Amino acid sequence: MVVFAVLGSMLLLLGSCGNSDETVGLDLARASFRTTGQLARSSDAVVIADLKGIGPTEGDGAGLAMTSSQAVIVEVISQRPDNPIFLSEGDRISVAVVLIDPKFADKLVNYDELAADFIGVRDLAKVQGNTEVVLYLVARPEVQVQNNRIGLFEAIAIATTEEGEQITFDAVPGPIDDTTVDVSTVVDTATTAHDEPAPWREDEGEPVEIEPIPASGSRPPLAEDE
Amino acid sequence: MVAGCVVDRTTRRLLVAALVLLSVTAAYLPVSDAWTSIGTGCRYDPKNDDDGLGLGFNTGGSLYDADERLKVEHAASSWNAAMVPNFTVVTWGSSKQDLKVTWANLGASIGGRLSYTCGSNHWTQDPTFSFGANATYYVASAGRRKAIAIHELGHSYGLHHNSTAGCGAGAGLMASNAVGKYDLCLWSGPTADDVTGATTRHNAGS
Repeated sequence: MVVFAVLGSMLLLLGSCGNSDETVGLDLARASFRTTGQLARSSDAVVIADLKGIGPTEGDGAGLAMTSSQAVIVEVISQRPDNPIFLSEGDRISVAVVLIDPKFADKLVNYDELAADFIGVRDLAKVQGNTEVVLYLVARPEVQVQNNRIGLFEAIAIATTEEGEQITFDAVPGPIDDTTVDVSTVVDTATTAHDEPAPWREDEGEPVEIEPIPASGSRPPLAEDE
Repeated sequence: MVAGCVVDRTTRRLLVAALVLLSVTAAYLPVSDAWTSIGTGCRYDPKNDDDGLGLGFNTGGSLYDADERLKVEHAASSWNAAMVPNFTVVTWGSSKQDLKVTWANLGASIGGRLSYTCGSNHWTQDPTFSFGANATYYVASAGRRKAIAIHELGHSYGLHHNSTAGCGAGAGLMASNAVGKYDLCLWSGPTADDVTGATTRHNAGS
């Protein structure tokens, strides 16, 4: 323990030598998808689409960026009954992907860590050569897109098609990224999950049962001031 | 192996024995603290903590979510029960504010975001914790939302991510995937390692 403490102190000393500049950090509490079922439950629709390339990225100034492209629906595998932008074969839609803003690569002290487990530009680069892809989509009707009559969808997962009725996930946060699954698995899990309306659009209903704020001994509880 | 490196049999035996001894010793050593620090200047201003750590909530925006605010307060209470200084709720933008809590459209896969700037020995501005207003993955799980808040409050103490696997000693909600950790371990507050790290960071001096 003492050795580790000494080593740690030395590293801290080394790290602090001559470096008083400000550093910028960012932390994301992001989804980590393990299964096609999780992806399906978190989406409005699963489609096969002809993706028209990947567009330029637009940052939000705080570490995230969005890239969008046009897509034409080749086949609708499944969609929720309350999907606010109901999809049909042949529809042309805008598809956006949220990713780490590459412009922050030089500013963020933890950019590499973030890019390692969330979608990065390099993930999208793998998709660019494949025009026909499987998309897990969430409708974003509130976002206005120019020159598009239907509206915007956010892709929470992109997979490329392989021979032998299989797909490989290429732009997904979580362990399912870079894995290959049967198309039949995608269809089964999506149709099951999309039987129900989206839980995030359901009415609030009864207030959520929340445990009381625990007492903190002799310390003062949280209270409004001013 | 370097060609010119000659080790006689006795020395080799001594080296092997030392390696075995080190391995056995390491196996029986108590698990060391696993928490890590963001960096030297990533913590509250120790000169300004006597009034508590002020949480300011942006309640005026269209994306404000009262339930998520409650989760942040519960997360703060969990920290308060385990260590000092305590979090308190202050008016958004007040001089006592130390952490800004707000809401933003971050996309379906992001439950929250914390952005911060580290100075020479403390934050140069209040860290900002934004709840993801249109996340779909976190829906219907109060525990996940609270875990996100506990995790982000831990960052505001100056803690970085904890890579200890599983739910045993040394593990905590400061894991990079706090939601996954909550799903695995069902912790309702910061763990012993989280608290040790936050206390140590906070008492670190300038």
